[in-house]
Amino acid sequence: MAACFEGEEARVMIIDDNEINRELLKNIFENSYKTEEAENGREGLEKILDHAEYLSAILLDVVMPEMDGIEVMRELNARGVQKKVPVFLITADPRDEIVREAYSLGVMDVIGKPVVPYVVKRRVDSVVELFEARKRLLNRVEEQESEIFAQAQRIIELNKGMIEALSTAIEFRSGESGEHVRRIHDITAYMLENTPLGNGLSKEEKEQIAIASIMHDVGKIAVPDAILNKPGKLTPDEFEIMKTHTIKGAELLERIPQMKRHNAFKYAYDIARHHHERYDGRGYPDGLKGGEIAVWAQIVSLADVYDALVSKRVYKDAYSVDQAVEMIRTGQCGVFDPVLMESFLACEADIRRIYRR
Amino acid sequence: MTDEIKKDLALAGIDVNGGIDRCMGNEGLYERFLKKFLNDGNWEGFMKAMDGKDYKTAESCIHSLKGVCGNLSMDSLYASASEITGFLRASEYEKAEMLAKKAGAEYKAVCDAIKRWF
Repeated sequence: MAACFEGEEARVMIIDDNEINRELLKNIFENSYKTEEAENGREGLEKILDHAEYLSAILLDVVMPEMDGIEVMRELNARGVQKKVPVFLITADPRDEIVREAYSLGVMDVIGKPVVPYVVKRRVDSVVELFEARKRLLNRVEEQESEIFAQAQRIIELNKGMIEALSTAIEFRSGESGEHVRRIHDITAYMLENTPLGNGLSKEEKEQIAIASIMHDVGKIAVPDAILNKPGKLTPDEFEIMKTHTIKGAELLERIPQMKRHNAFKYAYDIARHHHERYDGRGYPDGLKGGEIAVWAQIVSLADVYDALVSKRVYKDAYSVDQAVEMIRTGQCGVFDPVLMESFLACEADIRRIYRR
Repeated sequence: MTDEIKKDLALAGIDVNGGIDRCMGNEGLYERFLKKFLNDGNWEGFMKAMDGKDYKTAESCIHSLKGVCGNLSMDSLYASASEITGFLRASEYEKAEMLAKKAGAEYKAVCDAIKRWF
């Protein structure tokens, strides 16, 4: 049977138990369509279900042996075929109750016998055209949707790239490679994804926070080289200037209109300003304490301390990971929320892997 | 098809020009259909079912006959078959039987005329 359905030319399926009726319809349509025939409802249904994708229209008689037209229609309706291929009921007596049921089952049009060739042709052609236009439109919309999605992805990537570039350029001044910001991003993302700290945040929000973490130190652009890269301990005055990088960073972000409109802005602002606050209220610049410090600022704060400890800096050598964890746990390098600390210690082994990449 | 044939078929209640129109001007196809009509078993099926008082089958047969002769522009037979279908559907069997006699004569006239020429 498949052989008679080769190719993808437009096809009209004619289902009628009477050969003369079938041939008459075939004669009307064969100039513009290939035709398929079936001589009862059951045969017609089988052919339709096997090859619905090749059919442009179905012409269906009502009174037939084996399975009548309405039964065929019920089967087609149950499978949603009539939404893809228009079905025309061709009947010698369009009785009200049959017509009503046919329409409710999704028949597109009811055409009376004896058929008038140009009327049948015209009515079928118009609906076929409508279905094809609809299909084309739907395909186009799908194409456009995936195009728009791809564009949006590229814009997001570009945004992230710009943010990374800016942050890396600033870190570069203090002798850091791009690795520091990437690690802060990865640690933040990891902790949000894998610990209870991320509870209540959507996937998008977690991604935005991770992007925002990259910008935690942008305020360092306002700190003079001599202080930023001083190998020894800073004087109290120098430290006061160093501390301003939090406020300056938040201000800088606020002044970039594109950044202010970015979904990550509120997190970036918070993180830049508050990543040096301490849980006991003895941090800077605002002396926030406990729950006053947003969880994202706390996470970045801890990630920043951890990364600073295990990395070599102008003013210090690198500590071993175990030493670093011990220093954080015993409160030698800041005071953190016990819940945050617990989450960190629970996943610290996994975070080490970020450093091995 | 000559006018003589058309006239003769018209006497049997067949609108030849209407039938040819329905075949989109294809006269040969219409002639083929007329010949094929002689093999249509619906009239016999109808009569047999009426004799056996199997009105459901009779209705189905006469309904099919109605469809075909409508498509072939056999106007008088089409009209009678339509009426009989209506009576049977309304369970008015006597009226159907009475009309069946007239339809039988029309059916015979149609078949005879076709046989005469083709």
